[in-house]
Amino acid sequence: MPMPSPRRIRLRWRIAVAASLVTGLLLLSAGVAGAQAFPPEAVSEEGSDIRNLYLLVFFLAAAVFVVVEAGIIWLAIKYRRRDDSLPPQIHGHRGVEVLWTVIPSIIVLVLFIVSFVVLDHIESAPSKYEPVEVIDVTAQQWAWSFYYATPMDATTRARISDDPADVRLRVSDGTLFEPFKTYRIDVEHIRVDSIEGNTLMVARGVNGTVVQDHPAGEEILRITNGTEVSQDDRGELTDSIDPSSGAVTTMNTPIVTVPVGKTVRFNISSLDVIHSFYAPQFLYKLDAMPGRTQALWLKVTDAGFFQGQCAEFCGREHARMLFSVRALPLDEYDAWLAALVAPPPPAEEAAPADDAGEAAPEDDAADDAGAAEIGAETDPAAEPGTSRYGGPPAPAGLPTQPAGWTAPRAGAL
Amino acid sequence: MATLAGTVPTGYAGGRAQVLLDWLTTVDHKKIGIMYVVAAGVFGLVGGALSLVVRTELIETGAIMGADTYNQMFTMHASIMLFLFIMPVATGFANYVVPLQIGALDMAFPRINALSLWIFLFGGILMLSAFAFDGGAAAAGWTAYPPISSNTAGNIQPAGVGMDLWLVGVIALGVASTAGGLNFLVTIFKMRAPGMTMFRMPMFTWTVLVTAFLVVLATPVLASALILLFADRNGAGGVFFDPATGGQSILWQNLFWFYSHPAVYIMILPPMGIVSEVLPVFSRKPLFGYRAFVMATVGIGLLSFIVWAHHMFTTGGVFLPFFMASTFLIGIPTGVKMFNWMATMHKGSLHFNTAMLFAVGFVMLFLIGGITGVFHAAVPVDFALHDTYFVVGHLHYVLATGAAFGIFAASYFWFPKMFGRFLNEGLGKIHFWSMFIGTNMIFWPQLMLGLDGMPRRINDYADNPGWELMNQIATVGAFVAMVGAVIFLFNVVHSIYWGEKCEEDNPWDAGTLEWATTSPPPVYNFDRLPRVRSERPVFDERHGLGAYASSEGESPPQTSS
Amino acid sequence: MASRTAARQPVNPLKSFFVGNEPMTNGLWGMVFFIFSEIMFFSGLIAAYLALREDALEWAPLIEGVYDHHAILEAEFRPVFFTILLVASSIPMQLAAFAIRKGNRGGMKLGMLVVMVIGTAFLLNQAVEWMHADFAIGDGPYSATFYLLTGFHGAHVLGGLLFIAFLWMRSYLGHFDAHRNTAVEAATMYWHFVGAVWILVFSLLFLA
Repeated sequence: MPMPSPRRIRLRWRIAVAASLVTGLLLLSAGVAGAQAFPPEAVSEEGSDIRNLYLLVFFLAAAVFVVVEAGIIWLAIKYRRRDDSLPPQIHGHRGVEVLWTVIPSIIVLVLFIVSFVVLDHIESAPSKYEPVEVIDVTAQQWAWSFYYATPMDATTRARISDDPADVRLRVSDGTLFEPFKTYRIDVEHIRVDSIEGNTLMVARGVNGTVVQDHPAGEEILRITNGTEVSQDDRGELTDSIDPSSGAVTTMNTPIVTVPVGKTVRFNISSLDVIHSFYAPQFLYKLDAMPGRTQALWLKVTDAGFFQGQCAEFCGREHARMLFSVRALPLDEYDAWLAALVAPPPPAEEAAPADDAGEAAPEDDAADDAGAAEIGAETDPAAEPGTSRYGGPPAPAGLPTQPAGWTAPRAGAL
Repeated sequence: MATLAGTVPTGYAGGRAQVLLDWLTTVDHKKIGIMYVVAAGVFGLVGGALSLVVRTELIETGAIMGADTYNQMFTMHASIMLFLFIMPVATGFANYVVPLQIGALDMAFPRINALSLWIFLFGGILMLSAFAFDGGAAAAGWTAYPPISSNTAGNIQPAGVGMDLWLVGVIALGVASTAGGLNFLVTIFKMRAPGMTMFRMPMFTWTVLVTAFLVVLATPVLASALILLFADRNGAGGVFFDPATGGQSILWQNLFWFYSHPAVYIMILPPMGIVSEVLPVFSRKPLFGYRAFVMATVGIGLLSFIVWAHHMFTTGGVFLPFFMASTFLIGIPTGVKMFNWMATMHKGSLHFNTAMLFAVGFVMLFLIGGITGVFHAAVPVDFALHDTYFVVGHLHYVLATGAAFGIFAASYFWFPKMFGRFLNEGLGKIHFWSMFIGTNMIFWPQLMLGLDGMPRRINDYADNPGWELMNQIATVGAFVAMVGAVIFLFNVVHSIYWGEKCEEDNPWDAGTLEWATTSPPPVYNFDRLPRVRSERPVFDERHGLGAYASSEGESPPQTSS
Repeated sequence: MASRTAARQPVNPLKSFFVGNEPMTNGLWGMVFFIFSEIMFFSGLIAAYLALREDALEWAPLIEGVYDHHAILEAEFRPVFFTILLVASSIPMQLAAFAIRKGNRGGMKLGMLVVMVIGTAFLLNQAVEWMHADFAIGDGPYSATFYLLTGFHGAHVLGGLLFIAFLWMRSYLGHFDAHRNTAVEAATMYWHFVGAVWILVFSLLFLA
């Protein structure tokens, strides 16, 4: 081998430096990434499914990444220009082109099938007869409210507006209703037109719909005095920021308590803009869309305390729209819920309980003018169970409902 | 060649005012192209500066600036980078290069071309002018999801004209790019030189053609959505998009993404075309699998119209299996392109000047953007990663290291053609390495942060282990990359006046028709055209390949108008 | 300019009807692509209309007894009449194009005049329609889509009229003959498009 010229040696040095820069950078990134190349360990069945799918995608992607990047670096070094001769003018090769069309197609097909199976599995609602814990998640700027209801019971929570234009009734559990049946509610008769999530489309004699009274005794739901929904630990956002350091603390964020080992249906909705219900350890999120209620099914497998946060940009305090998940073993959860839904102290609180709990009197007035609230909310101030489990005691005067609650209005006025 | 170089008008008798007037009133596609690129570059610097503000805010936990300010910063960073930097800068290069590449005298509609430029400038300035008004610029994210964006009362987002100016600005930009798209379609279909069949068109022209189709068919849908949103904010009271008044917020998302997913390809296809020009030239080989590459480009264009809802997997309002399947399909033509680029380098004679470095950097880093896209295509994984920093990392690997690297490659590649001087190679290398290192420092940590659950668009984050460090690495990386951008800016300004002169028509030994004329070309573009018998007529002619193997020197008649 | 001697080319009856037998000029291609983009624009508006309507429990009338398209349609022939008129005005427009292909500038001007009269009458009727409609744009999705669809269609009619009026005036300067008539052909295409869109908008708003 002849002695290389100084120019060539310099070139080799440069190539070596450049190549090691690139490789080093990639290796460094990969090394750092090694610590955090994976999402957190899942604490729910669905999350585990998703994490397993992630691992499959990740290892396929990593293989492609390593092969292709190494290939490019190899090509760049091996075929760097050495002289001015014209390299072979290759325009293509049918065989390899077919090969590298087919291989990605197969990878993509496999990924699609596996993803589809996982998707189908996590999205399918559990059997109708499987016991389900129903938790209403209501997002608003910038807070979370969590309501608990006892499912598959002949009682439920409902609010109905008196506004003649408003023909939607919001209930915790739409599965109790069937379309085109008439139900009797204390205030009036309604006919269920359709069910979207847990929002009932009901006709109430507006726009010429004739309301038929249903035969007494059948299909009648007493909606008043429903077992309750309640609200848990709704924290104000300002409480969650340490004023001295500005650091966000999770201690005062609203907490949603879930049972371990029992399927939970989160009924997710929003009162104003789009939010997203996201706890990283669930590896799952669903947007809270205004005007709609959507279900997210989860079976939590690990007890513990997890962070959650709004994931869809929702305005000024988006960064501070946090919540926590408290997963309790089933028996502890039942005890906690029983304590939560225990009837409020009797006597004078019964009637004005709603009003006492409302945060904004003017909104309340507006609501009351337009809405007959069916179902008394439990006053959280009287809630006995919260502090036992490490959550902060609910501050006095917390609203039972988010301020300014209005029923989603129908498309047409 | 360059027989008429002496007659190219190089100076202006009328002095500076005359020069200025000449540029302001020009309908020459080359001048318009340069103005597009320069204007977009200035906008890009503004957008880059805003990204530094964003990164500075995130350097530690705790808010430094108000959330309203921060929201304006990331909203305008994205809006500027997408609408005012990447798209117009690609349009600018296309304006300059495409008529040359197909051997045309100018665009099909030169006056509409000039109109597009001025509407674009008007829209951009309108959008940015919001900073001067009370309430500041738009702060609803570049996606402008209602009900945040449709709210004018001030109870949901800061009241002000910023959002309205944003809407009107984007409508203006949409009009400009639609008019530009029409112009490119007619130009490419009708103005090609004799012999320039569709399958002999340079790859950049092909990508511009597909892009123009996407622009013409998708942008009007965005315009309709913007108009509805504008109506919502000014008179209609939210009946379209605000559920509180009977609208549907998801309707906006459908209309918006019906445009904005094709828009991703509007932004990435021309840089892909640029890389497909640069890689073969500096490998001294033809593009491997030209036809497959064309098919892949057309395929991506077609698929882009049926994947829009993959931005909405977590909204609960999407038929998931269909959009998952169509999104996965995008991976196939993209994979074909990756392999074709690699095969082009294979057995080549690679010369690593700055243009080539950026092109190879594009291939290396766009790969990451493509792979991370597959994670999002798998819907269940997207449930975990959507709206986290993983998305931010993914889209920046596609756009900031993909599209922008392609644009830088184009700058180094075509600069001598545009100005008759080379960009400085030494500064170019520094530019490349600071960009390569800086962008990876920004976006790798963002992928990891996203996996760990950090949501995007937050101005403050929880003090989770590792988050602060990752964000600090990203912030430092942003400044490293910005240093590169400033070096590039200096390089451009310096080289226009004092750069090394390019005396040749074809300094890179390239193959496409823009290298068959002088650098810079005369107003009328060509004195003569080589015979076009492949996608590399100039290369064929110089090396006696293809049609020139036996009939070198033959000069077919110049194209007629 | 492309060759004008197209004698031996196979004749496509549809193409020869709309744009003649000569090769399509750049301007005509531009108009074709422009119409594509316009179709997409109206698709966006109509998609919004359909989505909102699909979601709404009650669509029209917004407020009972205020404005009912079906009732109006039963009581009056006016909306149907103007619909037929606008769609039929494609005929004189196409005749104008035929005339100028033969170099008959007078015939072209006559056709354009008829179109301008019909178009103006149509716009006046739309104004009447808007005055009839006793609701504001913000009353609900129904009213908002009504104003936007009719408004944007009206704006396109107006644009077409201005385009045709401009060509009409240019013809007095001696513009257009049997070979230089791209603008007239383009205006004709555009006018057909405006009529077709109205059929769709009318069907959605009044019939569906």
